[in-house]
Amino acid sequence: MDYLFSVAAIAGINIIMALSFYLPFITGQISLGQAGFMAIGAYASAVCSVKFGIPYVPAVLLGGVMAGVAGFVLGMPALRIKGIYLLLLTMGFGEIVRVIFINIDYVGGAAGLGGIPYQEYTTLYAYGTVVILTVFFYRLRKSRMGRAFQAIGDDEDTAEIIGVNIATAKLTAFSVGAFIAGIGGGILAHFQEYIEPLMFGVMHGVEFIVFAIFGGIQIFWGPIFGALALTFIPEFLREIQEWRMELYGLLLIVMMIVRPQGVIGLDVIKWIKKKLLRIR
Amino acid sequence: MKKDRFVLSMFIVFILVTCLVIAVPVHAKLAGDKVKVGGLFGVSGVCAEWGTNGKIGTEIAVEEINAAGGIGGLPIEITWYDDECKGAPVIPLVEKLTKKDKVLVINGPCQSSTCEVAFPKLNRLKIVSIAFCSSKPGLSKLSKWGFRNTLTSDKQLDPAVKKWKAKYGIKTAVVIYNSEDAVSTVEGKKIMPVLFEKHGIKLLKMFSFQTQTVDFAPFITEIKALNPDGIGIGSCYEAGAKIAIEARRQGIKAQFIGGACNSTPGLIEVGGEAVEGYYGSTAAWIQGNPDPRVIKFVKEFKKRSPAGKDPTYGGLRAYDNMYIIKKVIEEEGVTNKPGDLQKDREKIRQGWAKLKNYPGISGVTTMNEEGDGQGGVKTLVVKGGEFLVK
Repeated sequence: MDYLFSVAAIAGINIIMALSFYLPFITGQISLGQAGFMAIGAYASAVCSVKFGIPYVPAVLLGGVMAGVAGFVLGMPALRIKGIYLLLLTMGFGEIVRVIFINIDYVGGAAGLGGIPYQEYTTLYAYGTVVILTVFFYRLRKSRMGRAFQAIGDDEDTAEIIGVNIATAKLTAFSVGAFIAGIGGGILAHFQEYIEPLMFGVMHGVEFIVFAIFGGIQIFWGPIFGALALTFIPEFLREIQEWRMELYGLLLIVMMIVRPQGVIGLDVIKWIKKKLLRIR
Repeated sequence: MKKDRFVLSMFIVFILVTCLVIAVPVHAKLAGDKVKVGGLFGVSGVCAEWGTNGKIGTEIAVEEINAAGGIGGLPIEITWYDDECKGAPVIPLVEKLTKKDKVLVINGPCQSSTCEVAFPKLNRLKIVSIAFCSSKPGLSKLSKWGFRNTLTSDKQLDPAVKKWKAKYGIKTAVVIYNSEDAVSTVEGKKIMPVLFEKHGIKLLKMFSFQTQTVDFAPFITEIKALNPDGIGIGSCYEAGAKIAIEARRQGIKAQFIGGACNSTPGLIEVGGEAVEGYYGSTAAWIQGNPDPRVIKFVKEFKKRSPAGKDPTYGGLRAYDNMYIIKKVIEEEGVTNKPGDLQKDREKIRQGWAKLKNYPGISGVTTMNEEGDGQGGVKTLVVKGGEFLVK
C-alpha cells in the first residue's frame, strides 16, 4: 500500500506539472521551460526549509512565488514570439536554470542539495493541490479571463479585435503556469529529500508535454488523466522489466495514430455528462 | 575389568557425540521455502553499464549459492527493478521491495545520486540497502541502514595519484571535470586538487565541461599553452577517452589520471592508443588477477554481458554483496519467519555494520563506522590495450 501511495504521490506531482504546462498552452504558448520553473520552486523551497527552517507549506508556497516571478520575467520577452520560437526560448531558459544551479555552491552545485525535511503526507498535499487546481481550472473555463485565454488560443488577432488585452492575459497565464510548476517542484523536493540539477533537464519538460498531449489538450481533464495514466502504466509494467519502456513507447505511438486529440477530449466529456444525466 | 569397561563406554560416548556434532549442520534450516532478496539495478539511463554489471554479478552469485544449497538450506529468490539511474523512481521501488515484496535486504542501488534519494528513506523503512558502485564521499552517513560495498573516490584516488606522480615525475597538472555529474564534480573540484597538493603537484588550472560536450579541442588548446606534466580527469570513461584522443591529436605529451568511473573497458575501447599510460583506480582487481575465483567470474560474466565485455568493479562488488548477505543471514541467526521480518532486517543491519576482513573476489572488505567499504583498492594503468595493476 505504501508503494502505491508513493507512486500516487509522484503521479500527483506529475498532474500538477502537466497542468502547469496546460495553463499557458490555453493561450497558445507552448513552454518547454516547466522543468526550469520546477527547479526554481524545488531549490527555493528546499533552501527555505534547510537553511532557514521555514515550515513546509510556506516553504513550498515561497518556491511557487519564486518560480512565478521567474515566469513573469521570462513571460515578457515571450510575449513577442510564438510557436517554435517560443519553444526554443523556453528550452534555453530551462537549460540556463539547470546550469545556474550546477554552478551555485550554496545549493550544493552538481553534487545536489540533501537533508531536505521529508514530508510524510506528500500524497495528501499533492492531491490537495490537484483538487485546488481542478476547481481553479473549472471556474476559469467559465470566467471572463478563461474565455479570454481560450479566445487568444483560438485566434490571437480576432481576440485582440474583440478587445482582449493580449499582453496581460498571456503574461498572467505564463506566470501562473510557472507558479504551479514551482509548487510541484517544492512538493517533489520534500518528497525526495534530495535534489540535483540533473533532475530538471529539458527532457523532463518534454515529459510534462507528453502527459498533456496524451491525456488531451482540449480540456483540463486531459492533462490530469494523461499524467495519472502515464505514471501508473509504467509502474504496472515493471514486471516485464527491460521491455517496459518499449511497451510504453508503443502505447504512445498507437495513441497518437488512433486518437491524436488525446484520450480525454470534449466529445468524451459530453459523453460522460450524457451518461450521468441518464443515470439521474 | 571395570576400568576397561569405563574406558570403552567413554570412548563410545565420545564417538557418538562427535558423530552428532558432525551430523548437525552448522546453520540450521531457515523457515519458509525461499530467501527473498531485493535488487535495484539501473539497467537503463546514465549508469546502465554499471547497473547491468551489478545485475549480472548478482545473478552469477545467486546461481552459485543456490547450486551449493542456498542460504540455510533455502534457495535465494531475487526480486529486482530498474531504477533508471534516477532519484524519483527509486522511492516507490524501495517501498515496493520493503512493503510489498517483503525482501530481507536489497542489493543496490548503483549510482551516488540514486543513493542520495534512497538512503534517507531507509531510516523510515528500516531495511538494509547495499550500493555496489557509488563512490561519492559521505553518502553512507545519511542512514545507518545504507551501506556501500565500494570505496569512495578519495580513497581510490589517493594511492593512484601517488603512483602516477612517481611513475611520470608529475610536477604540474591541470584538472578537467564534468560539472553536470555529481561524482565527477566532487572528484575534479574537491578530491583531485587536495590530493595533488598532498603529493606535491602544482595545480595550474581547472576546467569544467558538460555531459553533452563532444568537442574538447578548445580545452585542450588552452591546456597545451599551460604545458602541464599531467591532466586529472573527473568524468566517466567516454569523456575521459575523448579528452585523451584530442590531447594526443594536438601533440600533448602530458599523462592522464582519471576518476573512479574511468577504469572501465569502455575507456580503452573508445580511447584506443590515446589512453596508453592512462592511470586510474578500481575497487576490484579484475584484469590480470591470478585469483581463480576472479578468473572464473570474469569468464562467466563475459558469457552473459552484452558483446562479451569485461566486468567493471561494480559487477564483482555486487557478486560479493550476495555472498556477504548469505554469510550475515547465516551468522546473525535470521529466522526468515514472516513474523520476524523486521527483527531479521535489524540482524542483517548489525551483521553488515560489523563486517570485517571479508575475503571477496573484489578484495578484502571491511565496513567502516559510516558504512562504507574499506580495502580492495587497486591502481590501474593502461598498457598494451588492457588495464594492468600497478
